[in-house]
Amino acid sequence: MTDAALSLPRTTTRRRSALQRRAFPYLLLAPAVIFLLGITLWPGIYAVKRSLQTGKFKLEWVGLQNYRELFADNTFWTAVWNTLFLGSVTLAIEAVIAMALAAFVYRSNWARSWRIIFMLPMLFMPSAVSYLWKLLFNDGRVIADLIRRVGFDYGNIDWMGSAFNARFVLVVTDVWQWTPFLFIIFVAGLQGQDKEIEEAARLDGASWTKIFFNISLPMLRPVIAIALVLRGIDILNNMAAVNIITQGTPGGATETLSYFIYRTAFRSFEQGYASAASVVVLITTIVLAQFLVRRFFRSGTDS
Amino acid sequence: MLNSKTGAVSRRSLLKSTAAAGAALVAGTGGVSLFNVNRAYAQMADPSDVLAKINVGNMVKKEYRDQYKLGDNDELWDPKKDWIRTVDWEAVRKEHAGKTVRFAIGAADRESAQEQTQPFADLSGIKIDLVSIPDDSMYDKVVAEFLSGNAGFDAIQFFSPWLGDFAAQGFLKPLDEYVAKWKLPFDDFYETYQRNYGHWGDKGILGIPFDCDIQQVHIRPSIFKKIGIEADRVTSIQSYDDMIRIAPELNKVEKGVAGIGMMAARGFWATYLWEHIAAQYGMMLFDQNWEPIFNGDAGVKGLETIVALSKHSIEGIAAADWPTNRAAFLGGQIACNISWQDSGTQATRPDQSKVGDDILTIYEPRVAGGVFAPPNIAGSTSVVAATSPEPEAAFLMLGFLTTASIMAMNEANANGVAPGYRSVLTNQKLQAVSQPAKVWGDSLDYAWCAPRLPSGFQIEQEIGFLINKVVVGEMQPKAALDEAAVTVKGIMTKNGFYAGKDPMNFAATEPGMWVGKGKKLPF
Repeated sequence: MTDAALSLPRTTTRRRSALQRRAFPYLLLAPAVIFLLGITLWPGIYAVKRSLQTGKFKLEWVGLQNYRELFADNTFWTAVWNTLFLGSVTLAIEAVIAMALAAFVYRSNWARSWRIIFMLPMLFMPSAVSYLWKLLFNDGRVIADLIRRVGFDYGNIDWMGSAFNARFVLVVTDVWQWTPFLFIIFVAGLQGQDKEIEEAARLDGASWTKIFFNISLPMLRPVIAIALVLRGIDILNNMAAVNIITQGTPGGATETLSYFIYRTAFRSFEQGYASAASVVVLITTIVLAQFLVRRFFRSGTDS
Repeated sequence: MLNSKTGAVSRRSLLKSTAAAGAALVAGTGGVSLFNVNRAYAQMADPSDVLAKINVGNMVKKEYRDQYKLGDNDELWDPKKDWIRTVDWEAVRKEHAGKTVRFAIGAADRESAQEQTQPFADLSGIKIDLVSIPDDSMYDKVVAEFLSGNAGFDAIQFFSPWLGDFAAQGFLKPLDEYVAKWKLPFDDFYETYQRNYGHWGDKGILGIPFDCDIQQVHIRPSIFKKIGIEADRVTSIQSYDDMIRIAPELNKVEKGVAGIGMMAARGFWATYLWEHIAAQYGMMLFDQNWEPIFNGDAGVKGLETIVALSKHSIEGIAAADWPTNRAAFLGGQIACNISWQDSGTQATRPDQSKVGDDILTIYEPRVAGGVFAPPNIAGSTSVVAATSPEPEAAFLMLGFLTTASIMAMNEANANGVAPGYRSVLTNQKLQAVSQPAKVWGDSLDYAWCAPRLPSGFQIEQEIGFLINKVVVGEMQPKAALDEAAVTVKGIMTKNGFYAGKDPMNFAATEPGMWVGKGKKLPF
């Protein structure tokens, strides 16, 4: 060590006060938090404000009038019912198929390959998938042709002519594209479970079905809850298929809440009314999601 | 350097610096300075050279030129009515060269406008800044711009049923003065387009018709022949009763071909279909007090006709919008189609359709005790924003984009942007490349059109939701139209122009609702 180096002034560390030390992490996080609030909270606040106004050009404050009209609007309640009906049927079918597939492949040596294959539908844009199924069912009549070729001659099936048929088309479209989402989560959840518990049960003579239903499935409950809540929220907000395939036909039997809000805002240009519906959906979603997660988000090992 | 050697700002250095900055700003911003206009004007091509290139050889697709054996300089229009060949481009350049106008256009029509930006710049020295807006968000973006009081667009092209919304608010610049000054042949537009896409009640000219649509009936002669009906524009289907009678036969003639095609999807699609047919029964939407009267006999009969036809129509009729219907018809799946005129042109283009020459657009079927009222429905108009800093340049651009020759070549290209000029649709050469043009032109003198009420589009939407319920058997026609009338009154009340406060001058609007009143049939 040279004299010059020795003569350098010693670096002194300034002591931060307790307050500064506590504030420092928040300061680091602040830019990201402000940004996130800006893009998530502000549109929400704006929607609430707009829901209390009416008019296209000159906005007038009308208090809760939009909400009162909304709750008295049969079309809105039909959309609520359609959303719940279509959502629950779709979610149930997707969950059953995804769980069945996951149960078969999660210990397979080919699990990774299956995951990649099953992921494919998810990688397509929802609008492209909707056009595809619209073509298969309605425009191209491919499905009706296939049904005829396997021996069931129902003639030219009008898939948009009855509520059952139109809903069926929407369910098939959603199930095809989004079952893989649940499948991948379920496979990951099952693969993450401790193999030794299964081994122990097997040594005790438990059958495969008993192991799955009495051990694996209960332990998977929090994963299932999260997956279903995420998928449920997604179904609630999904409008690509309705917009592209049915536009709510026949007579509004497939109009979901998201499509109701879209067409009220962008077809009838009733922004205030549409905002009121959006706020109702937002609040309902938050409450439902909270309830479901609290109800089911307990580790299977805890119970 | 702004600072003096001592670091302080001297008066001289400040003056020198700000003068230089000012000069740079004037030269660089492209603002409308005299210097800029003159510089742009001095470098411009001879207008006759530019105009010579706006011809069939350069602007109509080669395959279509070959298909119809069109020469490069064939005139599908009347040059005397083609504004770009009559206007004084030197005068335009002197006043406007170097300016830029921003034009907001729906994404669907962007392509046709994009091709014309350079020729217009070459002729006028005015640059077009095209802003393409997705059709779904067009209304909101336009409203937001207007409400800001400082619209970012000089000119806008939009769906014609919105005209009332924007006109009533005073968002649009009256164009009468410019039409007169630059001798735009506005009278060459068919009356129905002048009154419903251009004028707004008694408020003068607020728009220049852009995409001039009409709904028509198109038939497939080969399929009609199989049920013993010769293809004829007048006699193949003389009435809607005839159409209902032959629909089951048409439905069975050929595997994979349905009898009737039409658009009965929820919302405005179903309304337009109903307006089309109900108009032939004499249906009018409102009386002189702007009371809804569409739920009378004519409206109900129109709806009953749709229900009867729907039993023999292509599957999916309740969800059929224009793209769906167009794809089915051009794909050869429909024997008799009720749709816009462009399906009749596009069907003949091999790159767009399987139908080929097997198509004939017929005159609107009549009904007993009814009227001949082919429906002028939808389409788009183009306007200049009241707040535009360059309204005259924007007007000149619209005049150019909608001029007869360019519109005629749009039709020859079958791109869906339709001409509304008499001189174009009656041109023999245009009729040779546009299969529906003859019937289309004849029909326009009798056209029916919905008034451009503020909130008119919302009204069309709401009526259509109920009509769709009738089509799928959930409601009876009369009950649905009665409910629609109540809904329409509600919308009018909510928008502040019901019961005593007229949305527009009825006396000035009524002649445009059906221009065929008192005229003899064209055939």
